[in-house]
Amino acid sequence: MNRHVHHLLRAFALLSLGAASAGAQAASPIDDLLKVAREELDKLAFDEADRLAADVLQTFDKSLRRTQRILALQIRAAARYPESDGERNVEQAKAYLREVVSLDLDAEIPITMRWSGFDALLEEVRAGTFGMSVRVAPTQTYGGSAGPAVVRVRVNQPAAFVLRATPRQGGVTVVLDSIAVASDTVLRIGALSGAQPILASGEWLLEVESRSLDAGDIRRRPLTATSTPGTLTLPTAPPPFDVGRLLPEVKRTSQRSAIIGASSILVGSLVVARAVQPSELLATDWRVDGRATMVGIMGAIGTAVAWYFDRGIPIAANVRTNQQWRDAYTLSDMKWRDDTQKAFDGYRASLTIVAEDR
Amino acid sequence: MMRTLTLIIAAIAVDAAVVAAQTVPTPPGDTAIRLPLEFGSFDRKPQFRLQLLRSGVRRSIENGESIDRANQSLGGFEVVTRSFSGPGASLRYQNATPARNAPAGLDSVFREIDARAIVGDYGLAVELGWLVREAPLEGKVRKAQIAQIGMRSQYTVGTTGIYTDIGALYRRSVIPIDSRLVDNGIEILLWGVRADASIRYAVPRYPVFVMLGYAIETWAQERTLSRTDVTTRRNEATSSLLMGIGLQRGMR
Repeated sequence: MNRHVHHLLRAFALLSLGAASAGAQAASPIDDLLKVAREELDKLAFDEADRLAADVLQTFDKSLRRTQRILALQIRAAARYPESDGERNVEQAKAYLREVVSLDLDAEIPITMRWSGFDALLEEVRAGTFGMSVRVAPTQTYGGSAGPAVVRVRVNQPAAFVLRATPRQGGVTVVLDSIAVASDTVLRIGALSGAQPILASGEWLLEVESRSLDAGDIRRRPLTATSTPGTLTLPTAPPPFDVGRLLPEVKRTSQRSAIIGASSILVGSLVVARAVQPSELLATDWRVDGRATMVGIMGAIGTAVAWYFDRGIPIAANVRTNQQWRDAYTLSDMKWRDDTQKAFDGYRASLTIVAEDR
Repeated sequence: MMRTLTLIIAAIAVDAAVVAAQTVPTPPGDTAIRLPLEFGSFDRKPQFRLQLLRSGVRRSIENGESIDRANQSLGGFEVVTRSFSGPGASLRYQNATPARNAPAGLDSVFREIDARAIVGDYGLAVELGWLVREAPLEGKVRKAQIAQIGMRSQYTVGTTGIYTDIGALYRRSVIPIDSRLVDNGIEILLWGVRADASIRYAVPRYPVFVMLGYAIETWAQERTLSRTDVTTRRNEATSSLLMGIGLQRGMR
């Protein structure tokens, strides 16, 4: 009997799938099968409900949407953990619920299937199974002063997150954001990298990946995004400040001047001492007066020392002129920066994100 | 006389070398605003300074076949006012304490009042002056009126506050030194040279300076006895270590 029902349902579903592809308005046969399974559950026909859900999972494994898979697993778990009139297989039910949690941490049990024991079992499973939920606003206007677009994620164990984006038509995958350790966080999608949009115009495949730091389990959630970058018009940057144009601001004594000064006192004192030599008087010990030599040497050394420690004097006219140039450049640079900041602040891009039901 | 010429030529050579070194050509196309003070050349600001002088003097005078020598200390002051290319003037007064244990003729009062007019710029200027010299002569202190002419060169070492000064003067008495000696038929002529080199350091941003220098002077005392027309000569020489401290305005 069961085998007949199974084949009947499968044939029915396949026929319905073909019909669905022909008409967009047609209901999903998988949904119909799951509806029947839930009705069986309501009639306390747990084995029948379980078989139907198992058949859906087995037969349509490749084409099942995430929500359908979750519902099928929830039906199987509920069938294995009935409130009454049924045989309970706790471990089996937990195994199905673990799959549910790993698919979506926030997946809720339909109200008609819930009872306190089943809820407690789900919570118990949630506590021990790494799961992730992803929440996004379907349309986000972001960039500039509006800030980045966000993808909210939640896990029940410490995890590392990565948000990647790949052009739908193929291309290089870009890491949009990553967070090392968090449990409930926001992944950000910036609008610009420099002056270029991070997400160019077109379709993008986003993927949120979380890796449990405890068990190393990985959960992935695909998203589809349509990016519409804004227009960024930046003001022209002023030419760089010409340092070579600056006038010298301090006048410092040249080495040549110091040499001339030291030489003039040294040579001058010796010339003075030696040029005047009335031989009758300045003969013998007066011929070379050591005091003249001392004056010359001390003067030369003093000049050298004064030159070494000379800090120069400021050239007020040049300082004023340079300051005017610096001020003028600072003003133009500040205006440019201000205009640039305004352009960045005013930049807006649009991102439409759909959480893929896969 | 040859020694005087030698000194003057040497002073001119030093001055010329300093002036040549101070002349810096302006690079073509250089429109930068610069100080008048260019590569340590002349400071063009007007200068005024008042300084107290102290000189350690060694004096030596011929006395027949021997030479009398004595060390003296002179004290005094000097006032100088100058503009870069305009006229300037200086006044110096020095008074010596009598030398102790000095030979006769060197043991009495020695006093000088030296006034000069300065024409030319800081780099090279001509000095015209008058010197009143009161010193022992022929057994007593006599006052001599002496004219002087010479040159002076100042060099400013950039912005260091260092100034060097080199000068030379030729001096000659222009009126009889003492009328009684002339009446007695003896005419005395004094002539000689003075050369000095000094360095000043003006403390940056403070109106004070110190000075260290060296000066040498020679004097020839020529006595002519009119009745016999015989001229005798007696030489005198001094060398001085100059030290000064003062107030200044116009230097760095």
